[in-house]
Amino acid sequence: MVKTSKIRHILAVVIILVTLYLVASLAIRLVGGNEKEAGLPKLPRNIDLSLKTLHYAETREGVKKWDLYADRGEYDRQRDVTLLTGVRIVFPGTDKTGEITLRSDKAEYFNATKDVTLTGNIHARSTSGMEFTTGRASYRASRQLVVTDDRVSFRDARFAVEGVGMEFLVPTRTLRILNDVRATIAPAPKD
Amino acid sequence: MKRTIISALFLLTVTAMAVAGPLPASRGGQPITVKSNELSADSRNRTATFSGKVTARQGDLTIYSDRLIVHYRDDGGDVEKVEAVGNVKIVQGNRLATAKEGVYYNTEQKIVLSGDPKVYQGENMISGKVITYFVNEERSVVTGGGDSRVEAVIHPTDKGKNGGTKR
Repeated sequence: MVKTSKIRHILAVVIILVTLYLVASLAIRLVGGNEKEAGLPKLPRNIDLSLKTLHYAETREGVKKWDLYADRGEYDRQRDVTLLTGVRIVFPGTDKTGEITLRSDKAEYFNATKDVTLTGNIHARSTSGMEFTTGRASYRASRQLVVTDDRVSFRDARFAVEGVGMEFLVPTRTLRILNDVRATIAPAPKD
Repeated sequence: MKRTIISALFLLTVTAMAVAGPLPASRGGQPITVKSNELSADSRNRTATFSGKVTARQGDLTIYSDRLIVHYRDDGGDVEKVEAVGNVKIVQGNRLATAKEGVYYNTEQKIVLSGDPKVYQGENMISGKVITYFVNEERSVVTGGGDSRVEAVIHPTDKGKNGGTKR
């Protein structure tokens, strides 16, 4: 009788110890796991990949069409779109036309079409002195065309234009202002 | 035939329409402002084409037209000439010119009007094949040619001495 009672006591102690061990090890794992995750912020559910300071070059038949730089890029696999912040697109040019740098606060790069929609403080400037600003714009890669339906300010040499809506063909630097055009052509400075 | 030759050679400098007084400051040194519905600028051809209810102003000179093409120089981007096309109307003070087409030469400060051109000042009117209007000098040279003869309708101010209309 005594022996059976002792065995029961021993088993009870063993069960309690095992239970404590399991609870303790689970608690340690949970605490340790949280510490590890604290170093990497969780990505939004729709974002599959996040990159800092990225550079993408678009070439066709060995000729560079444009370079895209961004401070940050997040890839959304569902939409096949890369969300960019701190954006800079550089279009190469000739000695006469100069290269154009197009900047914006944010952009969406559509991987399938290579089109880019730009938003926030859009400012383009060429090394030859041409520049324009607008609030939002799209770059259509197939036609190498920058378009907007927003208000635009354009300036080139003595030519300053305000208007609504714009089409700017990058290779030829051809400009169309689509509505409400107000232009000023300044005279040449006197020698 | 004789009439055609005479018409073709007929050159009339209309000084009667000139108004005496000090000439305005050089218009070529003033900016040109343009309003329109649409603009197309081609840097390779150095042209800017304004279309749709175009109004262009330089100092006291205003040009209205359906389309306005600004040609600028490659070096420095200064305006070389301005072509106005369709329903051209030019206003400077109390002078009004109408034509189908007009070309404004910025350096020379002259406007060459063609396509049934007419220049009005008050009740006076002149017409011909081509009218060249010198903006700073405020005078016009009217050229007739072919079937288009120079025509002037002048209403003398002193009606008591020499009334009527001359053609």
